[in-house]
Formats: sequence, C-alpha cells, structure tokens
Amino acid sequence: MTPNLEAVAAAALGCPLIADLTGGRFGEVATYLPGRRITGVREVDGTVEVHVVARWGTPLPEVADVLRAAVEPHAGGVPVAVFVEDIELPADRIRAAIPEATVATP
Amino acid sequence: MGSTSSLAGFFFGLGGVTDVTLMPSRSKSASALTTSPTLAPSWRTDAETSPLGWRAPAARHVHVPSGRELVSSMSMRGIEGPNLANQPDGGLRGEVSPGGADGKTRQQVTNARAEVSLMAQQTTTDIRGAEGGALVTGQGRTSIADSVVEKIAGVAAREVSGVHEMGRGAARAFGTIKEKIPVGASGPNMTQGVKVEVGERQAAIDIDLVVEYGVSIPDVAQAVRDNVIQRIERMTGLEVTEVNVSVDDVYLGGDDSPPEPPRVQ
Repeated sequence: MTPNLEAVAAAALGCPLIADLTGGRFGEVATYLPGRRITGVREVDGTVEVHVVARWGTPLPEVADVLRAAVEPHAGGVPVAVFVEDIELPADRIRAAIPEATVATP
Repeated sequence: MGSTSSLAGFFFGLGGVTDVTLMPSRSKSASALTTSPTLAPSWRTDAETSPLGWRAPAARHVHVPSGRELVSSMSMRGIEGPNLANQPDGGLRGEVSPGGADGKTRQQVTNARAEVSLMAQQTTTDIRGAEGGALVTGQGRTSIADSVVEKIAGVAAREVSGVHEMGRGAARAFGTIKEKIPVGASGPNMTQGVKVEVGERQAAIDIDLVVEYGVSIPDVAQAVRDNVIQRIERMTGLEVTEVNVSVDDVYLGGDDSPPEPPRVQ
C-alpha cells in the first residue's frame, strides 16, 4: 500500500500543535506533482518525511508523537520521519497577523 | 547610539570583556566533580560507537581565548536515555565558578554535590519520560533542526533578568542595522548570539550575551544556563551536555537613548 501524501499533508496541517508545513531551509522539500506540489511532505527511501514548523509551548517529542499518530493512517504502513524545521514563537504569530505594510520602521 | 558603541566595541575588541568561562586554575582542583573540558569523558568512547548515535567528539572544547584559561568545568548530572543507564551519572553540563574567594568556591562545590544527588533521584523519572518522548522511535525518526534549538536557547536566555542583549560585537552591530531596515521587518533575531551543535540525542550550546551593569555575572550566567537547559530538555527532549556562556559586554544604560538634538539647526 502506497502512502497517500496528500492526505498526510492534510492530516499534518489539521494537527493543532503544528503551525505549518515547510519546504525546509531551501524550500525544496515537497512532492512534485503535475501542475502543483505538496510542500513539506515527501517519500524518500521507504520513509515518509514530514517537515513542519511547530508551535511554541509543547515539548517537541510530544508534537512529533501526536503528528505521527495523526499521519500514520495515511502512510500505508511506511515509517514516518518527522522533521521539526522551525518553531513558531508567539511573536512570529503576532507579526504574521499584521499586514506587511504596517510592520515597517521604528 | 547603540550601533555606534557596538561597532566601536567590535573594532577595538574592547567591549569590557568579562568572560565567565574563564577562571583561575585553583578552583578547578577544588572539586572532585569537575574535569577539564578538554578531556572527553571516559564513557563517551563507548557512546560514540553505540548505534543510537551521539554527538561527534568534542573538538569544540579546545578553543581557548587568548592567554587565559578555559573553565567551563563540568559537573556531573543525571542521565537520560536507557543506553546510559549503566553509566553512573552520565550527562555533563558546563559549570561556572566565580574567580573569587575560596569560600564561595566551596559553597559551589556543595551545591554541585547537592545537584548530583538531586539529579540521581530524578534519573528514574527521566528514563520513564524518555520512553514517551524519545526522538528515535520504532515508527520513525524525529529530527529537530539546529535553528529550532537556537531559537529556544535564545528565547530562554533572554527570559533571564540581567541579560540585556545577545550576540558578539559584530552580530549586535549588524543586528541593529537589520532591525532598522523596514523590508521584511523581522524584529529581533532570536538566534543572535547562540551557537548550537545538535546530535540525535544531545545538544551543546554556546551563548554570547551582554549583561546589565550591576548584576552578579556568575549568577546571571548560571541562571541563563539553568533556564536554557531546562527549556531545551523540556521542549526538545535533547540532553544538553553543556552550555558555555560568554559575557562580551556590560550594558551601562543610557546608551540607547535618542541622541540630543543638534544645537545648530
């Protein structure tokens, strides 16, 4: 049974401890499909990789456990490797909520 | 102006350097619990060959700032991870000693011993906790990026009162400039002044910071170390082997106040 990577991505994004999926430092981590891509999820050497930005506050092993549990039903029995690429600080969230133009200059 | 003074501090290499990782050699012999950081702990050789993966041998310990002695002596602390269970008191952590009176040093040795016994008590819970929060599981691996550990360490260090700013002279100067650039306004960079090495199970952290004038630097350094270790171990499940704190400057206050208006318009 092959993993359903689209469902994996959807399940990861649905996890409340996850801020976002991420393409890694260079943005290349993705599954490339005709006409679109699934950022942050790929299958490499019989492992499903999920690259995420975690939310601040929960221990990351716990985040990984919860994420893995959420994703596993869609992984088709393939081991799931979780990569915490970044962590979203509360300040990041506030900044993201403000439109870019108003952030400018002290 | 903050940027000007930072730049000046950088270019002249002065910056009121007070490196807490330095201390006189006599305090090193004061405790049986301390070892020279240049010596790798004996158990580490076993650990390196273990299939579970450990941090590479610590070549990083050898950078000794000019002409002075590196202290960051190690104190024993509790173990995490079942593969360490046969080792008596596995982990290591950087320990700061004030270069001051012997009495103070003795006090610290007592504290260190108390800490060891406390950690020994916690060991059982640590191991139990590790089963739930292990990074390497049967269902797959969990990797934590260096930048995540850096960010957590940066936030944890800033949380401690007495810490004014993070980073060495150059980074601070550039940081100040970067913050003034509106494009993509990133705010303060939380990873500034933090360097980490992350293995599969362990992390080692170097922190550069500026303290406020009037604080006890050893106390602030220890508080930073404790907070960083606690945060990282809680949040990432990594064992922190050492936190080296180096204090690069003392903030005297008033530096960042707006410049006086020019007398001539």
